[in-house]
Amino acid sequence: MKDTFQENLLVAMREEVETREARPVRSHRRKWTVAAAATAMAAGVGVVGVPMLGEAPAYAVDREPDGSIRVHVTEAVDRADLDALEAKLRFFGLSAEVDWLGNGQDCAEPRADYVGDPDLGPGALFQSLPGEDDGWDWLIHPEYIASGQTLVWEVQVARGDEWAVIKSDVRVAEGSVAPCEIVSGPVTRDPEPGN
Amino acid sequence: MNEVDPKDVGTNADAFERFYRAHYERVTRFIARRVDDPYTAADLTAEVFLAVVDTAHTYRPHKGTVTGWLYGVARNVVAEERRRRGRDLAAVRRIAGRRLLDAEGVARMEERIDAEHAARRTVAALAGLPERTRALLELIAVDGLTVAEAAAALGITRVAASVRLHRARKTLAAAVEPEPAFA
Repeated sequence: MKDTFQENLLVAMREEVETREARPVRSHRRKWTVAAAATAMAAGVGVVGVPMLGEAPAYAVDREPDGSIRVHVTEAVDRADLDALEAKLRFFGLSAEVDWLGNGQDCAEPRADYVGDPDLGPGALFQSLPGEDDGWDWLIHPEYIASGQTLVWEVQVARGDEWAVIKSDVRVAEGSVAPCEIVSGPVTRDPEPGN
Repeated sequence: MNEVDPKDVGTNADAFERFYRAHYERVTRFIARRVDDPYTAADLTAEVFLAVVDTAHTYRPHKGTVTGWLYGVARNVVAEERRRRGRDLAAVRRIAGRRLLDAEGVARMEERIDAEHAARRTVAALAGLPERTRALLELIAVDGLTVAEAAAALGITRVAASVRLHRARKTLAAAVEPEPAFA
């Protein structure tokens, strides 16, 4: 039996691809999330954030008595926030590359020479603290990062009615770290915040 | 094999057609193993190929085969649909697959859905497992992917996939074993 749907969809898809050929840049993300314009801030690093005027920064970085560094984030941050966050971490003596990704996004690898076993996780270096009402907290122990090494921290965030951190991917790199080139990665269904 | 380079699929209609014809059956079967309604299956098939076109430029050969990548894309689309349904959100669809269905198309889709009846039962049986484990088991046990392909589809290393699989086996064995004998 002829599969009419297969042929109909092919015609529609060919049109789609031909239209795209003429399109300057991919704009699918906007179309894809028309129903979720309010959550576009969580769509990833490529989206320009809109800082709230007169409000406190979306993040805070503090030194704990034991020498560890506490990072507190209250809302989805944009690239400018992350640059400032990295600068603040540098001020505390920690070299870090922080990227904020949407659910289903990943950084193209390899972007650095990593040290340690990627499957063992960050161990004592990095902790996600139990969630507080007003955001997410992480504790970084910089004593585990040697001179010349960089903390590569990729935070994956779920889009939804409210943003939610799905997970933090933390590794230590030796030497330079390439900027995150966003590629598609696995989508987490029913994210469990705070991982 | 004259495999189409996925990089061209999003920008060249002829390349897309070759890719589409080579993988159409694989995609519709994947969906029929998870969805029992021909209209939703048609919508999701369209969504998968749209996602293919959107993300073709992100395919990285060193991360795995085209098949593994395609299953990853299909999985994301189905997962997104489940998530949306869980929240009762309507999908915004660029191409409404169901509008392209006529009676013959419905019949063909229903044939696939009928043929995948047993696979859907397996998918349903895995539903209670943690998401990461379930995703991996689905791809291997239901879709017949190798561990390496499933790892590529999920964006994890092969070692991580093997570890997860090993733990899943232990969990399943523990769940099955204590069955008491009937008196």
